Formats: sequence, structure tokens, C-alpha cells
Amino acid sequence: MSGDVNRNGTDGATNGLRAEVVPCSARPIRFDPAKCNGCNRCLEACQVDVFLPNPEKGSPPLVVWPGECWYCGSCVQECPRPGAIALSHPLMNRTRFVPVGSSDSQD
Amino acid sequence: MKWPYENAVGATETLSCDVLVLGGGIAGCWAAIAAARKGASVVLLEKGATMRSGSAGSGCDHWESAATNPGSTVSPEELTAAVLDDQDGYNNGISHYIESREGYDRILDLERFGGKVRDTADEFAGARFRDEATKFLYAYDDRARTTLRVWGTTFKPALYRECRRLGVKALDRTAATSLLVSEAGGVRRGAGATAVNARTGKFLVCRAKTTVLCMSRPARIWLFHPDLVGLSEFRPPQCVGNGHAMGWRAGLDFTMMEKSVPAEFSAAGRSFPPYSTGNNHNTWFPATIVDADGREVPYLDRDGRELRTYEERFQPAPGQKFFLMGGGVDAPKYAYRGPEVPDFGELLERGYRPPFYADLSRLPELERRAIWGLMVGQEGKTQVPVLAEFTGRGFDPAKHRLQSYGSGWKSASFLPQERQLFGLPGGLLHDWDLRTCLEGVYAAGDQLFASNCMGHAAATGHYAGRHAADAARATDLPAYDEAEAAREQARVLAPLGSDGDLGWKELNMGIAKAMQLYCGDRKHEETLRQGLALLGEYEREQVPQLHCDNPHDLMRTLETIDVLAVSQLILHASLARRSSSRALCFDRVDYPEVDPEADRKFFTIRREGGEVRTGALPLDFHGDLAANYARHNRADGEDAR
Repeated sequence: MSGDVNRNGTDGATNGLRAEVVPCSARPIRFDPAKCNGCNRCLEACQVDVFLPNPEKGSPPLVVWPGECWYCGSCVQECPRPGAIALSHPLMNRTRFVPVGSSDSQD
Repeated sequence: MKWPYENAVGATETLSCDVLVLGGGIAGCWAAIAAARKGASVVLLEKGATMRSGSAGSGCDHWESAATNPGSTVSPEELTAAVLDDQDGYNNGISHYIESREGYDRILDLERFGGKVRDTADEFAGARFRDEATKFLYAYDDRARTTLRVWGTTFKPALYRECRRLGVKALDRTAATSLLVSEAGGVRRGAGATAVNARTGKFLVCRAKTTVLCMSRPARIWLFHPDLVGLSEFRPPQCVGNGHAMGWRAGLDFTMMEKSVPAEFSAAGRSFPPYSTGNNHNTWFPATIVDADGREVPYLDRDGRELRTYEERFQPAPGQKFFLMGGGVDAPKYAYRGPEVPDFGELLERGYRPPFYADLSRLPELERRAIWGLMVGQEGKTQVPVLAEFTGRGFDPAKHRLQSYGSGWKSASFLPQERQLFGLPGGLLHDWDLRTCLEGVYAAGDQLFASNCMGHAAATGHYAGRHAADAARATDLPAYDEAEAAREQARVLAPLGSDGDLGWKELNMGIAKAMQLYCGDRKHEETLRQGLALLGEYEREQVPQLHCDNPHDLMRTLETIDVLAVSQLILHASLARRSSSRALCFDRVDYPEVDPEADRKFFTIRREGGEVRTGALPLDFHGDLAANYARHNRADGEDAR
């Protein structure tokens, strides 16, 4: 394998990269700042890349694109600190369950 | 906020290798591993994170069509013949034969790489579905034993480790954008690919002797939700068919692209997340279903005979050798139909009262744990947001029943014009080496026509990778058109510097509505042409207006441009078939005749110099499966192992 990098084509007009949190109706991912040590392993495991690193080192990553979350759970699977990160389906997607032996009868 | 990653917009990196793999999911990892085992230098480009990327990145609960595993009683030839016949021939004989023949070799690979495929901890000792000698756990048809229950959450990290151990240069956050094509001496051949880094914006030219396309099937065509983008479809949101769009632009042949099915999954509204509700399909087969009063719903065999025991739900019907079940099988023909509960309407007629529930408390304990625990614990999107989350909310499968929404696994109802590329969709046409019509370019997994699940991705990935490595050995690094690469760089980076103000979500919404309107469940020449006209207008007038502020949004913007290209491909393919077809779920209202003999063939389609070319191939172009396999592979089987 061989490789080289040239930077001849740099275009001045495209240098001002920026991002803002893109809000959405759901809150897929929540961090517990007391448990999260900001290791960013979740960020590196996310195939959708919904996070950006927190400018403050040691703090939880920022969920910049929550609407793009696929709810796969890889972020939680890779987290070395149990409870530091939680993933939940949007409210409308939470399946109802009832005790066995009960009846749905309203009367 | 300030962009936290390096800004390399405008920079170009050039790499070269023997074999270039595009896509780092199950198929791509195995293609890279197979090529590297043969001594090739391998570069793998993955848009996300190879360790967890792809549809099976976070898990997978069962492995289908492993017909050569020691417990199987069905031969690869029998199994492939069945899946071909079940689709009236509109299926991929080559790839499914490879899947049936080599899937078990890939399972053994995984075990060597550190993945878990057997019940080594004896958690299910003595269970009906366990083979005590091998400790394999089987699913579905207990006589056929071609499907294994597996610990899929361990797979991608194991494959990623093996890639690195073999020296594969895996470049994450690197989105492939186009195929490089060499035209030396009047012969067109693949020469590698271009890509852009989704964090830094750096442009990459990767030259290669051979290239393997291992990217996703198309999505976000009819179904797009701008708020909950990630839930728009079944597969991950970045899996939109970039590889199909690249292939279309490079003049590769496709087939079955006119096929789409009524939508089944879109948890952004219409459905629930897969396997997160009480149901009885795939992961949940064969859970006991009860009605609102706790009255048990019977399982019936294909002749309507009521099954009395739980064990019978795993048995073929009298006179049936085996039944088909799994990802590529939705409504099997009588010959292959397995045990099933009556549909929703029939249950209401029989006096059952909705809503329905899955009640695992009535199952033997090991069977209950095999569903809630093993399979719900290992399936792609269930370990964390279902098993752990529901347990945290107090769900106990021995004490609670879980609601079912609708009667089947879809837990949803969609509008008729909402379609999806699911259940063996169209894709790239290929030969017995899994080579596309372009010399030096191979394909695997979901890029192949009529692809389905993980076993298919794994087996075809390995197969394509080793054939690409063999071909690379016999060739020099092809030249590529530098001017073409420079034009591609300008195209790719344009939205970052554009003066326009169109966001990718608005364009994706426009495409999805156009496809619902003009290429929905009922298709007609005039509306298909209107769709093409509208999408052509989007391409000419709207795409140049696309604007974004960072490489992440650039990745989404480029995806949407590819969604537009694939939508055009689907419209052209729909125009090419002038009849209707049952197996292709294809309804041409202007040509209502269903499956006329003259059209019982694969229509092929490609773009050549701005023109669309169509052709046709017989449904049995794969020929004699065992003989052709033998002709294209080493006689001692060493390559496959």
C-alpha cells in the first residue's frame, strides 16, 4: 500500500465548518454526567455518528443529531461505565405489557 | 459551535492497494478477510465505524441457510431449489447457493475470530433445540436444522479484530462516492474508488487492481421521516444504497430493481422497532399468542390442522420435508409453509378479542429463555433498547405478556403507496465469480440482487473477496482518469461551498413523495414518466442548491443525491417491465396480465453514455448450481475454508 496527501486544492470558501445541535422530538440517548468520564468510546462505536466530542474534556459527548439515532445500542454496549449512558425508544414506541392472568376487560 | 475535527476540505489523499473493499458491514469485513488471507493488500472504506457498522453491527440472533452444518438434513442444492421456486424463479440462485454451501464455513470462521456460535456455557443443556455433541442451538424447523441461533452481538467486534490482525487498512468515517473506471485500450475496467471523510472532508482517491462493492441495499426511497430520520427504515439510516448509485453511474448492470414490497418497517411512526413488541416471527418464533382475555391462539400447519404441542411448532407438516422461515421468507408457498397462527381477521371471526399479546410464561423455561434472553438479547437492535430497557421497566417474561400491535411481526399498518426494498430486493447482476459486468469490480451482500440476511452477506462477502484477490494477482494497477476524479471531487464538495439554501431533508422528502405518487403500489407508464420528469428536474435544478455546513451533513447530503439516483433507476426499471408480477410484487395497471410466459425473465438495466439500456436473461441463467460452483472454485474446497 502506498499513499500521499496533497493540499493544493484547498478552497478558502469552505473553511468555516460549523455545527449546531439539530433538535428532534425524541431523546434517544441520555448521559449521567456523574458516571460518564468522557472517554468517547460510544462516539467512536456509533456507525451513524450522532455525537460530537464535548469541547470540555472528560464530559459526555454531545448528541448533536439525535434524530438520526438508529436505536441500535452500540453506544451502550461499548460503554465501560454501566449506567453512564442510557438509550430509550421514543414514547410512542414503548410497548405495553400487563401481568399474565389479568384481563383487558374494562368492566 | 466550532467543528471539533480537522478541516481537510480541499485536501486529497491518494492510496493504492490490490483489493479495495467498499463497505465495512458483514459482507465487507469478510471480503477483506478473504482477500487478505490470500496475501492481497486490502483497503476497506467504511462510512461509519467498522467495529459496529452495518445492519448486523450491534447484533444478529440467527443464521439462516447453513445447510452444510453437521445437524442439517437438507442439502445446499435442495435448499437453493426451494428458495428459487418459492419466488417463481425471481431469486438469486448463485448467491443463495453460495450462502447454503459456505455459510457454515463462515460460522466456523467466526468462532476462530472469537465470536460465539455455540452454547459453550451450557446455558441450554438438555434443550430440545440443542445438539448435545456440537452445542449448536437450532431455530425454526427442528428436522431441517439449517438455521442456527447465534450470539451475534459478538460478531462485528470479532470480525474487526480479525481484519486488523490480517493487516487490512480499514478507514472509518470514509464514505465512498464513485467508482474509478479505466478505459485503456478500449477495455473498461474498475480502477478503485473515490471517497470523502465524513469528519474532516478530506477527499480520497483509492486506486485498486480489483474492487468489491459491499454496501447496503437502497432505502429512504418511499419512506423518509425528517424528524426521526434514523427510524425511517429497517436498516441503519446511512444505509441508503450509495453502492447502487455508484454502480448506476458507472454503467453496471442491475436486475429486479422494479421490485418493491408494501412497507413493513418504519418505526418513525407506522411500526414499532423490530422485535420490540409481542409477536411470533423470526426472533420471536414461535411465541405463544393470547388474546385480551388470555385465550391462547392456536398454531396451524399448512393444511389448517391445529397443533397440540409446543414442539410441533418446529415440525414440518405431514408429507413435507422441511419448511422455510426467516428474513427472505414472508408468505411462503404451500410447499414451504411452516406452522403459523391464523391472521388477525380470522382470529376476530373466530371470536378472539383484541388486543393480542405474546405470552412467554406458557413456554417451557428453556424455550422462554431462548426467545427472551438469547434471541431478543442478540438480535440487531434489541439487546439494549429492548431486553435491558424493558427489564429495567419491570418486564418479566415469566410474569408478563407483551402487547402485539396488529397480528404479525410487522406490528404496523402502512398506506399502500408506502413501499420498501425488502424481502429479496433488486441489485447488481453478477456472474459465478460474483463479478459485475465491469471487469475488476465484484459485489457481495446487500448489493447483490435478491439478497437477504447475515449468512448471505457473510458467505458472498468471503466468496467475492477471494475471487477479487485471485483476479488482482493477475493484473497490474490500472490507470484512472485524473480529470474524472477531479470532477468527482468538485461534485462531492460542492454543497459545502454552495450559495444555495436547500437542505438534504427537504430534498429527501421531495423524492419520497414523488416516489409514493408516481411509483407506488399501482404503476402506470404515464405516472412513471412523470416521476422521471420530476426527479430529473430535482437533479438539474435542486441538487445544485444543496447546502451544508460540515462534513457530517455533507455525508447525509451525498446520501440524498444517491437516493435520487437510485429512485431514477427504480423508475426506469419499472418502465422496462410491461406486465405485472406476483413474485416481484409488481402491479402495472396499464399491463395487468400477471406473469405472462414471455416476461418470465430477469430484465436487466444499466446506464451507458447517458442512455438507459435494458436487456433480459433467463430465470435459470445460474445454470447447474453444483457444476458451476465446481467450475469456479477449487476442487478441494480449500478456498472456501
